[in-house]
Formats: sequence, C-alpha cells, structure tokens
Amino acid sequence: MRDSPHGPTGPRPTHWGLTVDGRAPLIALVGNPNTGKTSLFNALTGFHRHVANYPGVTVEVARGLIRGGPRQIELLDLPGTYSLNAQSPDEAVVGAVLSGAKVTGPAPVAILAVVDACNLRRNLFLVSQLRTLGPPVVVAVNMMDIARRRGLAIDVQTLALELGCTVVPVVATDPGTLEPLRRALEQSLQARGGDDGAMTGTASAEPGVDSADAAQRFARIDAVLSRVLSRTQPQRPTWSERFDEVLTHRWLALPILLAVLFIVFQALFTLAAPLSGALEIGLNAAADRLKAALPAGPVQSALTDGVLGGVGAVLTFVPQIALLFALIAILEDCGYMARAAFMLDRTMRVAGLSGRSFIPLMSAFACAVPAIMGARSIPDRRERFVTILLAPFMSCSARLPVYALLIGAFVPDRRVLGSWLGVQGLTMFGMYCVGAVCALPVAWLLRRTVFCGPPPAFVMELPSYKRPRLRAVWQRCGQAVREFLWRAGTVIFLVNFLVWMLGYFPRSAQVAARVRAEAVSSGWTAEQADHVLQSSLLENSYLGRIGHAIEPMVRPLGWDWRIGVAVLASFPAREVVIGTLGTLFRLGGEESEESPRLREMLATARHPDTGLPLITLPVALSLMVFFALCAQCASTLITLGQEMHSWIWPVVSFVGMTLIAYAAAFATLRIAAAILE
Amino acid sequence: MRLADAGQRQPMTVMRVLGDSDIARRLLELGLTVGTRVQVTGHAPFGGAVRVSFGGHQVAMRVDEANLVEVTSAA
Repeated sequence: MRDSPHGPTGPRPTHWGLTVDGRAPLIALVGNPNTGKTSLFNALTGFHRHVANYPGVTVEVARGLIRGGPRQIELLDLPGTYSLNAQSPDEAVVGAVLSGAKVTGPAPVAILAVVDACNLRRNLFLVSQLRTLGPPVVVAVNMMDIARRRGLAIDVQTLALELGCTVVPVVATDPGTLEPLRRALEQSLQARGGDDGAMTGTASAEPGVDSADAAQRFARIDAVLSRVLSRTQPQRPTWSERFDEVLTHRWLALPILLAVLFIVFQALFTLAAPLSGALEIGLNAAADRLKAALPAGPVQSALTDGVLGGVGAVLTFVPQIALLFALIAILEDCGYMARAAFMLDRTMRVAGLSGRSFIPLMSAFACAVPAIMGARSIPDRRERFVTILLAPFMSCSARLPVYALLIGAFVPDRRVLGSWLGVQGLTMFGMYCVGAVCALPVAWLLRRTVFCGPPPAFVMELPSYKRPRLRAVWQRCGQAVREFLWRAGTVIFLVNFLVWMLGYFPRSAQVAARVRAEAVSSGWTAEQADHVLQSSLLENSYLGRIGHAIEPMVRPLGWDWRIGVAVLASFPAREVVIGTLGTLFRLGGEESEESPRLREMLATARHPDTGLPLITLPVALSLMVFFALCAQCASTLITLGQEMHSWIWPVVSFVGMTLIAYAAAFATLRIAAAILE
Repeated sequence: MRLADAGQRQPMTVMRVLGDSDIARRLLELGLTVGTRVQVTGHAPFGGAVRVSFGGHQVAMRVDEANLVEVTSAA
C-alpha cells in the first residue's frame, strides 16, 4: 500500500472519499462519443488502448495513472454518452460509476468532462447534467485547433465563469497543451481536500427525464453560447461534409462500399500471403535442423511433429491476422464505418435490426469477442441480443488461416477478368459472404420468434472523417498479434501436444512387426515400407481409433477421419485445426529429409485403400463452409453467455451453428461435386 | 411539416419533437430543441434513412424518427 503525498492521514468515510483504501484519488473521464476522449486518456496516462471513431467503442472501463504530476491520480475512461439518462448498457455504466453504485471500486472524486470545441452546444448538455452530481467538474475543450480552422472563436474565460467550473482548452494529440489540464485536475482535488464538510452538493439530484428538462437546459446553453462563441468567418461546408456527398451518394455509395470491402479481402491475399509463405519456409527449416540434431524417437517427434508442426503451422498466419485487424481499425478510425452503418440500415432492417448493429457485426470479421462486447452500445435489448447471436457467423480472423491454407492448396491460382481478379481472392471473398448471408435468415427467424418486437429505432451520430491515427491502428494490430501468440502458446500448444500424444502412442510392436513381414513378402522398397509403417501406426493410435469411431459422422461431408479429428480438436479455437492437421499429416507421412509445406502435404495426401486424392476441391470447400458457419470458439461462447446473462444461449448457439454448418457443408460438397465433375 | 418531408439542403427550424418516447428524448438530448436550425443533407442509398445536419454535427436517422420532428421552413 502506498501513501498519497497530499492525502490525509486516516481513512475518510465520505462518499467521495479518495483514500478509503489508500488508493490514488480517482477522476472519471466523461464525454460525448467522438470527442477524442480516449485519445485524451491515452495522452494523459500513456496507457494505450484501442480507440476508434464510432459511437460506443469504449465498452470496458479502462483505468490508468496520470503521468508527470507530483501526486498520483487515477483516471477512469468511461464509455461515451450523450446524456446521463441512459438508453443502452454502456451508457448505464457511466451513471452507475459516477453515483458510486457500481462495485468497481470507490466513486470518483472529480469529473473530467471532455467536450468537442466544434460542437459545444450538444456537448454542454452533458456537462450541465454532470454539474448536478456533486463532485467538481473540470471541462477540457478538445480539438481547439479544428475549431479555429473552421472559424470558431471560443472565449474560454467567460465559459468557465458561466459554467462555474474550470475550463481548459486542449488538443489531445498535442502534449504541450496537456500540462495546464494536469494542473487543473490537481487543483480540483486540492479544493476538495480543503472543504471536506462543504461537500454537501448531493449526488441525488436526478437529471430530469422529461423533454421539458432538455429544452430548459438547451435554452440556458444557448444563452451561454451567445456570450462565448463567435464566428471569425462565415460557415462553409466542411471537407468532411463534402466527402459525404460522394461516399454516401445515393448511387455511388454502394459500389464504393463493395469496392472497399473487396479491396480489403484482396489485400489479405496479395499482401500477407507472401509473408506467410516465407515464415512457413523458415519454420520448416528450423524443424529440419531440429530433426537432424536429435535422435529419432518420441522426443524428436514431439518437438518436430507436435510443437513445430502444430503451433508453427498456426504461427504462419500472423501476417494475415495483423493485416485484417489493421484494415478494420483503419475503416473504424477514419469514420467510414459509421457511414456504412447509415447506408446499410435498410438492409439490416430486413433482418429486423438497424444500422447500429452493423458496426459490431463488421468488427466481428476481426474477432467475435470484442464485437459481442461492442453490442453494449445498442439500446434495444432484442436487437442487442440478436446482434450478439449473429456475431459468431461473421468470418473472424481465426477462420482466415483455415481458408488461406485450403484455398492455397486446392483452388487454382488463376486470374480472371483482365488478369487482375484472382480466383483465390474471389473464393476467399465468397467464404466471407457465406457467414453473412446465412446470418440474415437466422436474424429474421430470431426476430420473429424469441426476440419478437417492434423494429428498433435508429439515430446515430456521423462523426467527422479524419485521417486514421497510425499509432492507434498499430496498437490495435499489436494487441491482436499478442493475443494470437498467447493463444498459440497456450491453448493451441496444449491441444496440439495432446493430439500428438494420442496420435503417437501406443507404438504397437505388433503393428510394426506385421508391416515388416508384409514388406518382406511383397518386396517393398525401404521408402514404401516406412510410409506404410507410419500410417499404420497412426491408424492404430488412440487418435486413429477415435477418428475411426467418428468417421461415419463426417463421411457424408467427404471428410477423412483425420479431418474429423482435427475439427473435433478445434473446439477451443478454430486455428487449432491447422496445427492438428499439421501434426496428423506429419505423423502419418514418410520420414523425408525435407519437410514439405503443409499445403503440399494436404494436396498430395491419398486414401490409403483407394489411392485417390484424400482432399479434392469439393471436400476443401465443404470443410471451409463448415468452418465459416460453426461455433468452434470457446472464448466467443463464454463472452456470449456473459453478455446475454444466460448459459442457455451459448449452448443454443453452439448446437444451432454446428447443425447449420453441417448441413451447409453437406450441400456444398454435393453441389460442388456436381458442378466440377 | 415533418423533417422527413423537408427538401434536401432546405434550411428548417424545429417546432417540436412529438411524443415522449425514449427516442424522442434522445433527439432532444442531441439538441433538436425548439428553434434549432436543421437541414436534411442526404438520403441513404436504399432509402429509409436520412442524414441530418444541425448544431455543427451530422446525425443519421430513420425516416420514422425524422417524422417525429416537426419543422417549419426557416427561409
């Protein structure tokens, strides 16, 4: 426990008491969405976290210590809200934390309200509500530079007098402007320390909930602004508005949106695939060197087939995952995602949703977990629950390795339409569409049965476009990669090791003796004999026995028992399937000098009895469609249960999605086989 | 007239927001109070929603919501 330098000696029992448990005093950061709140938080604390440019991205309350001051102050970044009259769960968090009702710790001793200088009227509405709560309010007027450029002059001194609280002009992205704010925050705490007993401004002053209250507040704000705000130049359409004329144009908007999405998916293949290839070659070289250095036996097999063959295969997809997260972060950060929500509202309405659910669903293409949590910004409960249930249908980055591997191995690398459209890229795009297309009827069904109700309202701010902050994009990318590596090092590693053990043992001496006898009698070459030995041992392993037991279930999908086992083993996380296939095909393969790349092993694998190719294009497509639609992700199911406050829904989601995936994979196999033959 | 029926880029003044629903309150809290200047700046590609500009910011809303706002020409 540490002592606050200015803190009182004993614990204080006050409601706003700062040192009840000896912690640094807490200041809550509150503001409208898109006011640069999170950027300011990052600038003040140096604690970096995902920041994006659409309403409601801050779904979890983040904390950080303010840097550079003489005393420690903790800053709490609350979700953006327009009003203390909450309409969605993330807005409700703000009121709960400010009133100290939330059991997240002590209530804040002061409030830092961030307002957008270009949009004072709406922002001051929230400030006027905050002033009724009790704790001192410090107002940071952010984006002063943009306001100046737009010809807005703000009289900060008068504003402070009118509001009756400290007002500091800042530019969150310019560290030089933050020092005065830091001092103002410390002063607000010292003022508190001085008049302990005077803290009678109760927090019970409920902000009004009727329309008359809003009208009154705005009338007062308009009176204040008439003294504070002046124009130095006539109002012109901003460049952001001019951008919107094109990007949300009645006829141009949709082609532009489709082009943007298509470029994203093409980029995944053309930019990241060469990097992945290079990584795989490097990892294979490492496996070969290890194999040469170690004596043959379980240890060598565990390290090369189990660890490098499994986890290594998953690691080669890091470039693609990083790129996907980066591209989605750029789309969010520049403000385009909010426009897409506006344009697609009509489409979402068909499914009984609104444009608002588009944003979490789009981010589910990176990962369903943050998407499910992002749904907290949706006010309508039914719409929110349906959005949560749809999120796992979107093809997340964990499916990407599965698609990339199978497309690379089985879809011809041909170009069509004047050689700039790759068939592989098109197939990838198709896989991303499968989930989205299947989600529509599911939503329709849910909205007409369990979550039946009136269509949700749709009112959403369209923030000004801005250049994506490379740092924010880079950080989000880095976080995704770290989480992926963590999963690869823990869950994927453990599952693959288990798969290796089950596939390696028991090394039956009987099987080995039988194969050797057969090799002698049939006059096989040493290479042939070794190949038969390895695959016989694998078939006879524990894993082989499990696989053969479940084979009747996966046979209709065109899968071999090895694919069935790999799919089964990938319940904790979808990427596991890659590692499992890597381990399985290496275990069963011949002991060659150089490890072939996994995709080549898959492409050349044959049925042991018939000698026909094990995986054909229709089988690969059926496997991809299965992965596009199944719910093989433990973290998603856990998050879904938490957000829906029920343990029934994860079960329903898993069973339902698996059934849909199975049916779709079966249909894909049949249709593809009929077309391609 | 209602905001949903206002012509594109026609300057309008808010007369009142109808009803006392959550969404009506949210429109007020965003600043669509009596006397506010407001403009429809665009329509969604498939219809059903409009872009509205007031008080220095842009808000997307459905036609249903724009129908809650009674306006009069400010010209």
